[in-house]
Amino acid sequence: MIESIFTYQFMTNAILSMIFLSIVAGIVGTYIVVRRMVFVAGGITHASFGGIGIACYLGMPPLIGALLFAVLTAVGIETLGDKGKVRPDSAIAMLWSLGMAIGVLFMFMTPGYSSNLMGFMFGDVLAVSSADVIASAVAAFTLVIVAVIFRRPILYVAFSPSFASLTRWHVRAISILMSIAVAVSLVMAIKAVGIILVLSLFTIPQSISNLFVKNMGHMMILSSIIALIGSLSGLAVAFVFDLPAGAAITAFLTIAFLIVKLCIRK
Amino acid sequence: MTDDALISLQHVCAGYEGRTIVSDVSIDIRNNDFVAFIGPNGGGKTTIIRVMLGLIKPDSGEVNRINGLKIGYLPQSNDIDLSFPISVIDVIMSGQLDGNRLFPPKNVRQKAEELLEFAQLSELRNRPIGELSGGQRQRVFLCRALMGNPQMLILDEPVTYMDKVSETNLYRLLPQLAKQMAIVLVSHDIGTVAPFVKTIACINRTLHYHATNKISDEILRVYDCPVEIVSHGPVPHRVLGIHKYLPND
Repeated sequence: MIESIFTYQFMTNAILSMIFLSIVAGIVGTYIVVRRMVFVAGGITHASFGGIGIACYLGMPPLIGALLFAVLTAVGIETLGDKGKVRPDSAIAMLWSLGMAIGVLFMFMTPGYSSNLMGFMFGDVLAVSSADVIASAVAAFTLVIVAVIFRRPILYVAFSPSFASLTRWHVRAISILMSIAVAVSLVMAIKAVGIILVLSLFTIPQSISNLFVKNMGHMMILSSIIALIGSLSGLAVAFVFDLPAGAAITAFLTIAFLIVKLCIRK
Repeated sequence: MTDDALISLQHVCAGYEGRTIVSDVSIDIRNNDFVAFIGPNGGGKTTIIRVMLGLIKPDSGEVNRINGLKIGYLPQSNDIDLSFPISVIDVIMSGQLDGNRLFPPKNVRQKAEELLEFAQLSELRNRPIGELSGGQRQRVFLCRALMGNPQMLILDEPVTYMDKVSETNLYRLLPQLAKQMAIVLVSHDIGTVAPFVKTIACINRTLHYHATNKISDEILRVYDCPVEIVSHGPVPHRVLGIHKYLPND
């Protein structure tokens, strides 16, 4: 069975893609969870759909548009968070639904693209190309380097931004750098697991690992391993039973979380 | 600014979004000063602290610091996420005043270990911060404030929500520190802090400085609030100050 999986190029790409995305999700997802910015991440992901719609309409690669919208939304939320007169959660909700509305409108106006709607919503890890795999490998490698070099500032700024600013850390610069990392990482995962399911990869492994470790660095490593186990298991189930891979991965991770939570309680 | 002052505020007015909280505040903090900032809630204690820390700019007046003044700061504890995955020793090391360097100096862990020992927290070094009691946590944050070898230490209401035992455990560390640095201790509980400090500054919209730690009638008049007074004598006892606005008066 395992040998037959590797005879297909699309399956090899899917497996390599999930390995690199698990590393990305382990690092960035931990930051998202400990900073309690899951709703922000949801806003960024859904707002990026506006970029996908416009890119499709203009005949550009969809993920370029998604990247642009995601980064602008992330930096916008981070920058306006302190200054804006609108409540932060309301502003996120507005950007969330505005992005989706723009995406749907432009998709509707683009002939032949409406059928791709489901693909962007729920992803298709089996459609990941070799170029996508290389992109996710570069992202994973870059994030590991950033997480190692900036370990202290990321930890200190995430724990207590107000105190970090007193110790001469460039809090705003570090927060914006991490917001960009969050946006890029979420967009990288859209093709594989889709807009609606992407958050599962960035929150469930982290929630499981947080049940075992109470150290941000350890949480990043363990989350990556759990994300990898969950996504490869989901992928295997999807392959065997001919199910959508993104949904199988999300279901597998959620069941794993519930089982671990129940076992720990006992 | 006098020659031996670490920081000097002269006729400072400050507030938020155009609303003045304190006005005409003048005070010098010198090396080895141990001053209590006391006053009612909303009187402007934290505003003056924020001016000293450089977190807000005064609307008028002057703030002068000696070059490279290092200030250790123990904020009120209620802005911390207790579920955050960070160990006690990492919290303490985050106090290193070296934001311009990515990697810590070699002795940073040793310094953190020394502070853990000083605060009697060594056995908790690898515990997550959220698993500590309120009193232990505040001692960890005190260690964090001391990590950068500050010349001046600011403690903002350090014993809020703490029981008396934890309060004593924290306060008994302060006299030793006062020999090495200037300390500003912010509190709304004048009676508890008076025995520890050398001088008292009453803050209620402006600042009245008293070069003594004796609680006088003038202090109580400025304080303008019911306070718990600890009297010193052969037998420990407490009396409560009479509030002049009691309904039956």
